[in-house]
Amino acid sequence: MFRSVFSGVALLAVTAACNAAQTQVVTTPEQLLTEFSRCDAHFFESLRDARLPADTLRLSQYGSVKAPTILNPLQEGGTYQRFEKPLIVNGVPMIGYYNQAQTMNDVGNFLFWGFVADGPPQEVAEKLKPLIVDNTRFISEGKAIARAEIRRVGDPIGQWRTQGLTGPGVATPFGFVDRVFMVDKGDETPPLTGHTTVFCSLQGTVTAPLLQVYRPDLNARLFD
Amino acid sequence: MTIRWPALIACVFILTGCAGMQNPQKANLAHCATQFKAYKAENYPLVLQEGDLCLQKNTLPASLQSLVYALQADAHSNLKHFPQAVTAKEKSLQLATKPDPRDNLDLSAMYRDAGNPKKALELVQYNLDNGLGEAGKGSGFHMPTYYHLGLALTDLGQYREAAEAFSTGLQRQPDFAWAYYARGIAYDHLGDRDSAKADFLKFSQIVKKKYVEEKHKAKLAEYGISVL
Repeated sequence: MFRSVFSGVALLAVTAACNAAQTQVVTTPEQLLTEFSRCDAHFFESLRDARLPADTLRLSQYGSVKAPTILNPLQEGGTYQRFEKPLIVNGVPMIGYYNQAQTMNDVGNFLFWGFVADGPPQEVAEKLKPLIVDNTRFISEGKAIARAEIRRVGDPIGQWRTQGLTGPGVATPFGFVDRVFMVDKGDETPPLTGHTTVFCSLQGTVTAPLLQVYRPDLNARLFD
Repeated sequence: MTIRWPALIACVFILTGCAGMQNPQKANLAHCATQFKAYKAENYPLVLQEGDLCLQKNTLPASLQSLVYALQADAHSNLKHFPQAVTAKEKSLQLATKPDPRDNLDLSAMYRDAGNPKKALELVQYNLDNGLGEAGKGSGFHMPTYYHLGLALTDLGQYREAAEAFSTGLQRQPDFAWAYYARGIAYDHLGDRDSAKADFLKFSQIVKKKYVEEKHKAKLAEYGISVL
């Protein structure tokens, strides 16, 4: 997934730092999805003490947080966990968890993580929207429904800009990171084909210092 | 901080090669040529002295005045007269016919040395906001920009953002030793000793030893690393 080229003067509105929010104790799948929709460390922190239905997410300890167990986000075939029983979130069956990381030369680093759901994207998006943080910006972008923001290297680590976004289709410019919460049709290869993805992504100049804050479930140096 | 050598060489030829000039004029312009030669010889007090005389005794075009002030700024900086360096560099930039984005980075460094990291950061952000890459508008940003960005952020105590800036610069130029050192310092402040140590070790392996000062060695020694 590429983003369009950013052009023009980057005088942008700055969002409030999502990281300022306290991590709540998660006792329902709906609360979990809300934490997930922040696309930051809250999801992994909340999984430490989360009380979730049995036989849904299998969790592992990753440093100081927990995350759905994945073999290896860098390795094809190691990126997916199928749930024994769907995790029902506001009527949406989540059937698995996906976590992938890759580097493309001269384009940047890409991380996608999140849930695989049953149901058409529009229907899934409609049902999940009330749970999504900052959902007024969760809007249709082509066939997907997405909430996007962008950060320039050097901006305060918890702040994201909501203007001057790179739209869908073109690479994130060097020195920037796109963060997107997106509901979309799964791509053509298993395990996503035929399903809907409910993903967070970080794309662009993703560095270890950023990953340490946003993805405490990962080895921050995985792209080094 | 470097003066752009082609401009410097051109000025030396211009000022010393005016055969039709009267002797008093030649004598006055000789101060300017002497300043340039003193700069090449790293005689910084003479750079300042001759620069003042060059400006006082001649009516120079703005571009040459800019160059004289730039040399004085560099001299002040090397003599650790940091506020004076800032003043001279600001004058140089005001007079420049075509400001070079790298001059903003040089000035940023001078502001940091003068104890004003906020202004230092603003200068780098100005380049970023306006797409002023090191090679000109639209040329993209590389290690120099991110290195100076990281140093300003470090001085402001924004260590994670600084580490990120150095990491970004290293994606463009993975062999710049001083970015590893600077990022190690940022990680050290963050309490991430493993990452700091990895960076200091890398630095010790690739740095040109003659530039490593006692303060750098002392920092490395805290991590059990020596520069051989």
